[in-house]
Amino acid sequence: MRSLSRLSLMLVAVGALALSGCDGLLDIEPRQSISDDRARSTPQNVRGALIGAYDRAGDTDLYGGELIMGSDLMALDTRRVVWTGTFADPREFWNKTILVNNGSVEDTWEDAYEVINIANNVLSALDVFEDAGERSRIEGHARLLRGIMLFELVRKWAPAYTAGTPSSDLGVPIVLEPTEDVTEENNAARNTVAEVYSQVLQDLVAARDQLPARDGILGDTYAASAFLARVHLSSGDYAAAAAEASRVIEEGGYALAPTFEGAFNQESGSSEYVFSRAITTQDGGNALNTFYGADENSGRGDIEMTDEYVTLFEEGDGRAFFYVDNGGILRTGKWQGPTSEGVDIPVIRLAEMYLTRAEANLRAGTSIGATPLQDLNVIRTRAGLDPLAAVTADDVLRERRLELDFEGSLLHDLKRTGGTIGVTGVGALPATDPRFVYPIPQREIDANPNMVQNPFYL
Amino acid sequence: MALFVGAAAPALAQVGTVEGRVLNAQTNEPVPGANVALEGTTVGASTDADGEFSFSAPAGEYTLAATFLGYLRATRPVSVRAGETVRVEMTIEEDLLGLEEVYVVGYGTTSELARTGSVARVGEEEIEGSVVNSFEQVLQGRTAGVAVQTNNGKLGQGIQVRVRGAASVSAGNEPLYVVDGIPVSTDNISTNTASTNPLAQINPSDIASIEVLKDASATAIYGARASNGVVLITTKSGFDGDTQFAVNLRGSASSPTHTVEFLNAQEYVELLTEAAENSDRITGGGGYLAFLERSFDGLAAGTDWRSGEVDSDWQEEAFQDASGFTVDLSARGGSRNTQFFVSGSYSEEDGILIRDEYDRVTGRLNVTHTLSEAFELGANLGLSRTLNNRLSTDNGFATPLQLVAQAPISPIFVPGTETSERPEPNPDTEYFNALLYKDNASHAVASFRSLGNVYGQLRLAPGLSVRSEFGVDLLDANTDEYYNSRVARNTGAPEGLGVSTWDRILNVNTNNYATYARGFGEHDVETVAGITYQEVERRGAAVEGRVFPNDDFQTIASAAEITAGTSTETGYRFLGYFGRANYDYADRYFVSASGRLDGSSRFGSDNRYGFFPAAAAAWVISEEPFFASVPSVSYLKLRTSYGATGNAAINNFGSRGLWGGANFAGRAGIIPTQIPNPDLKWERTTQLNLGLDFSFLGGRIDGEFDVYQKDTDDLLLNVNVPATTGFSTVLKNVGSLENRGVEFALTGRVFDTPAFSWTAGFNISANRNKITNLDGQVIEGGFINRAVEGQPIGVFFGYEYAGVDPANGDALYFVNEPDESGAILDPEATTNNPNEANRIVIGDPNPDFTGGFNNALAFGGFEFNMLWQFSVGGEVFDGGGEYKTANGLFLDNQLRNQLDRWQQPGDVTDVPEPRLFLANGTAESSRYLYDGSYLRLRTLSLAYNLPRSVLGGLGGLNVEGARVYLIGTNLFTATDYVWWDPEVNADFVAGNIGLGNEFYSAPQARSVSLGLQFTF
Repeated sequence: MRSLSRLSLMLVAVGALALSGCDGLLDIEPRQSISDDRARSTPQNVRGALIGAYDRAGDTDLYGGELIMGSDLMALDTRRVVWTGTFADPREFWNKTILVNNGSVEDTWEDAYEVINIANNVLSALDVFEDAGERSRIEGHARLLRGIMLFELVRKWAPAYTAGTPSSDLGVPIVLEPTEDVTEENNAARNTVAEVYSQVLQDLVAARDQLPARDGILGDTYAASAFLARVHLSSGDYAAAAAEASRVIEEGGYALAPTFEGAFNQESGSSEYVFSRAITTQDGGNALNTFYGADENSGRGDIEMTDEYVTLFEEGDGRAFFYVDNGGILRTGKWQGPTSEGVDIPVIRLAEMYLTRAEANLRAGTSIGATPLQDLNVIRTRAGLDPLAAVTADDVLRERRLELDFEGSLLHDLKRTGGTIGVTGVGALPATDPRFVYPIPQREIDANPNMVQNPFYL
Repeated sequence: MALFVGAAAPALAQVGTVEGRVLNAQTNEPVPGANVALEGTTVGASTDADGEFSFSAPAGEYTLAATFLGYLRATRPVSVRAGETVRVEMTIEEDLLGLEEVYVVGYGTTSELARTGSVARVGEEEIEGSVVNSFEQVLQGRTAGVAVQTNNGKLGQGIQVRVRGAASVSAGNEPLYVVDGIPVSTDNISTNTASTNPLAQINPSDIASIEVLKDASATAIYGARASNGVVLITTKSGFDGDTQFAVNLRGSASSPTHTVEFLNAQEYVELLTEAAENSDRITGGGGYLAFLERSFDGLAAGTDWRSGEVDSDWQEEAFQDASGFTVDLSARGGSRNTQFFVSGSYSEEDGILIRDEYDRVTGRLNVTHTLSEAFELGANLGLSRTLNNRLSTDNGFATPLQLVAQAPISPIFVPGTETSERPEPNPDTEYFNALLYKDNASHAVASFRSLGNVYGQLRLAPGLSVRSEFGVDLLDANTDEYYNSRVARNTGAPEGLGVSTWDRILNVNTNNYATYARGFGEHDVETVAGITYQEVERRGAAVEGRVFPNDDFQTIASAAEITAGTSTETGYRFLGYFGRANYDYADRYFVSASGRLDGSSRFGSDNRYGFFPAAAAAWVISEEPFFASVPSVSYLKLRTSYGATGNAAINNFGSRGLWGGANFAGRAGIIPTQIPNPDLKWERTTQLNLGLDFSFLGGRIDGEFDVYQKDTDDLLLNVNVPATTGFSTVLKNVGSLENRGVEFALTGRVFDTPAFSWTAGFNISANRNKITNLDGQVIEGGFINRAVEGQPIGVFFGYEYAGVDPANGDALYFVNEPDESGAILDPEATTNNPNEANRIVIGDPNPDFTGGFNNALAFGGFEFNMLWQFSVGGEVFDGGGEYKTANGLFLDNQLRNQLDRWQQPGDVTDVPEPRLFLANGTAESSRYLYDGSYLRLRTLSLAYNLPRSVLGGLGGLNVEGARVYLIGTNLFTATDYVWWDPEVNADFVAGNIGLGNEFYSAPQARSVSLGLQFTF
């Protein structure tokens, strides 16, 4: 009986214990995450947030590839390049008819703003850095990322600056504050194209002035200049575009790869890369390899070049043969390096800077850094072509596409220069056709009463 | 402490003897094995073969009670005098109405008579009579209001169970599973997007009963996790008597329930050539035919596709002749003080898809021991190890059924090797050849589970006892994946890829509660109050390696490059205080009230606790004096209940603002992953239930009828927010939905004689789900499923297909342009451009009604059982329709019905003109929507029990029973569905909203099992 009484005492004790200290039992802290306020309170965490922002900018929906591939599929003539894959989203790009629920469009939009939000978090927490130098460097990075994301957004979701009315054309919302909770105030409205460009310039100029010459795998002052060159070229400020491109070429310390092929599928990047998405075997996906890559290069082999594409090149152009041949089916050689091998994705190559400087100088009637002819011949010579004796703006544009096709440049070049895009069965459509502006994702329209859809999708 | 002394006192008093006999009231035959005991004590005995019993007891005045399974309890007063023997004759009546059938409910039991809630029950016999991979499948067709949906025919895969419909949109919709009083882990431990089913680790033959608690009165005692119903599993226990051994051996053979017809090589070439020619015509010479012929040359791998040299049936290659066997051994028995059940089981089961396998080894020991009159303790321990060779998800090129997409002109094996001992799968197919996985890839999941609990129960005074339970559910899983160089086309790892993953879920639970039950004349009171605490910790680690020395090395140890690694840790806690009081008067009026205060670590600190009360009442009308004049009605009970339950099935730190790790090419970083919501609280469901239980003609016909209304408010919803915030959703308590329905079950004992018996049962239920408020949001899932206001969860939202324009072969869609009020302006208007059409609700995956009917016949030693199950009105969307019924859009092989394509002006057909690479009719529309109604012969069994006369001849073995049985599963299905199986939900998109989807999903197996059962 004694044992029984003892047992019952134990039970009572257990019960009492359970009843008393209970409240604390429910307080457990996550082990894999940290809380919101902590993330912005220490220099270590803010530095981490910056790396996080780079990581998101390198997502497969952004510089990990789809941002680049989507616009090319839109801009390439359907007779020259054929989408044969079964995925519906890229097929919509290739058909030049994007649906408002296109997953790739939605992901790119979301991820770009995710980068902007992280950058805004970093910018709101700069006070944690006591060292002014570091504070400035971190700010430069955050503004670089915010600036380039806003630029990518505005040139895909709005008419081209030079082809429309920037002061009234709707751009994208400019968000400059970190999101702490979501209320009606977060129902951002679209700013005008001119306002977005102005913000982009402010951010990129600040980045250019605050970033060091090199910062490992992160962006640097020349990357900011290279993006500035793109922005100025887009907005028709040719002198400024030539100046920024020239700065990259002359001061940046980059060098063209000896061969055109040598500029791609390189494991540790290339001396030609001004800004790239670093990929290691452990981090980073490459959507370009997934879709352009041939089977044997771990791709899906969904995009083919027809014979008609190859005839774009003049005789002797080494770039014409930069493809893989799968039993007569040709695929561009640019994206054949499997992700598993840690091949970096170039976002801006030095070659583009030569072409930008050539075009900008030509249009501005200047010779900043070099003459347009000199710059063009640098690119031609590397491709194995004879140098030209004279150059026109059309020559530069033609060279530009032969050099930069499948790297995301074509759509924007056609839009800003009033080019056309061939569609089988339809004919040549002007690149300024509203169908070449992305739709605001339906999800966004549904979630935000202040969001206005683009004309083609109404 | 006085109580204990009091309880101990009788032991010191002098004793007398009680003896007697128990007789069947109807036949006057002795009843062997009946329990006879003095009420309020543990003193008693069971009757011998002649129905006799005898035991000694302390002198005193008692009530003697006789009980036996299937009989009504009988009582008689008895006085025991020291040194004297008192003889008592007891008669007990057969419980024809099943009124004393015991139902397990939360923290206690109840009887059919006293039950106020809605509870569905499946017993040992039904479980033994089914051949299932996991025990939930036994519920299918047998329990009204419980919908069981197996995703596909892969073994060990996720199963969706919905009790009275889906009660949530973003939080979990699965019921709470409680095994022997302990809530068990049901976490998916899959390393891909198709979920696994940890409940399959429990050996179905160890289960004595499954009770599904459906209404609030039954579930509210489980408070915050009871909104989706509660499934109580009780494992088998021992008894007071000679040890009974049982052996069950079973072998089975399985095949797919259905296969479909694809184009043969000649038809394929014809259709695609036509498609290419059409595309050339439309584009004015786009080179499509030239491209196609080049592709055919490649696909034919050197064979002549023009002459039809190769005609591969790829579908056949996806399936295998599957077999399986099961050995179950058990022993149960014990003495009056100690009772036990031990079992061991081994089973090996092949899936119908190549490479699919599920093996299970389990062991169980359940013991109870009565230490003294006042104290009882016990332990249940179940151990299991399962090995599952998993397949890729339904959308993976390597999943066997995706083989059907391959061109029939492609040789299955490398030409020349077909007849060799090891034929080499052809690597140069249109898509990756999944047959290559057979010898070159593995995805083995070894799961170990220890599910145990111990309890002690102390009787403090007559009617008052306290019980303390402590349970541990430890689930450990090792997943080893290996893909060698030959499958690099699918994995992108030219020198081999290995992934080793480890997961552990430790779930510790304790229940402490007191029960007080006492009768005062016609009044009976029973109360329960207690506290429960649960702590769950989940940890995991994974490592990935690439570059193996050669294909013989498969462990990461030999990988030259370690390419990924991770470790994870998370957890949650629940703390609950509960109470329940039942009162009845004269076995006629019953009322019950319960409440639970529940707290969870998952919610914001301001809203951690929720209170979930419920009340119920029942009136046994047939016990009323005035009712005696209606002799044909033997039993009539009216029940009603109303109460609240909760749902907390969200992410563990759902209310917090969080940042998590995100590395960038070797640099460590952090990113915001979740926006805070400190106001986050329980999702709350209130349910009103009205039920009627009845029995006619002395129990020949009985049944029950329930009608319910279940309203869920404060939905835990992933609310879409503008992505310009950097987030896409926030978890908030927004919105509401309702489920309303009726359930009806009827059982008829058509014949009930010892020579021949026939029992027929029927059940049907209809649930109507409707989302009443989502704050204007549309939440998407599956391919085109949606959760949207005013509609049932998961409706299909897409274009409405309008068939083919007979003039030009264009696929047409109804424009369905709405006016401002939402009404369609012109219901007849069509367009050939899906972008000009508007998407509308085109279908609903939720069935209108489901149910089953069964017949059980026994004649001599034969038993025959047949269970049919049906589901009517649910629709299925084929997410793969745009590839396999695409009238030759791609090089994918097509369903044979695509031959009915439009060919010339005037053709009237539903299949548009084939056009290679030019979409014509492949937008996500009602073209790919099918009626998923079906009627299925779920089980058909025939058993023969060898007569005792034969058994006596099995010299010396003392065999008590021997049974030979044959069980057929899914032998017959009636359906209009065109794909493999209407009982489908593509595994990689299955979810709360992702319902009723098809995507190269494997059918259920049709199997025949032959078994042998001995007891001795």
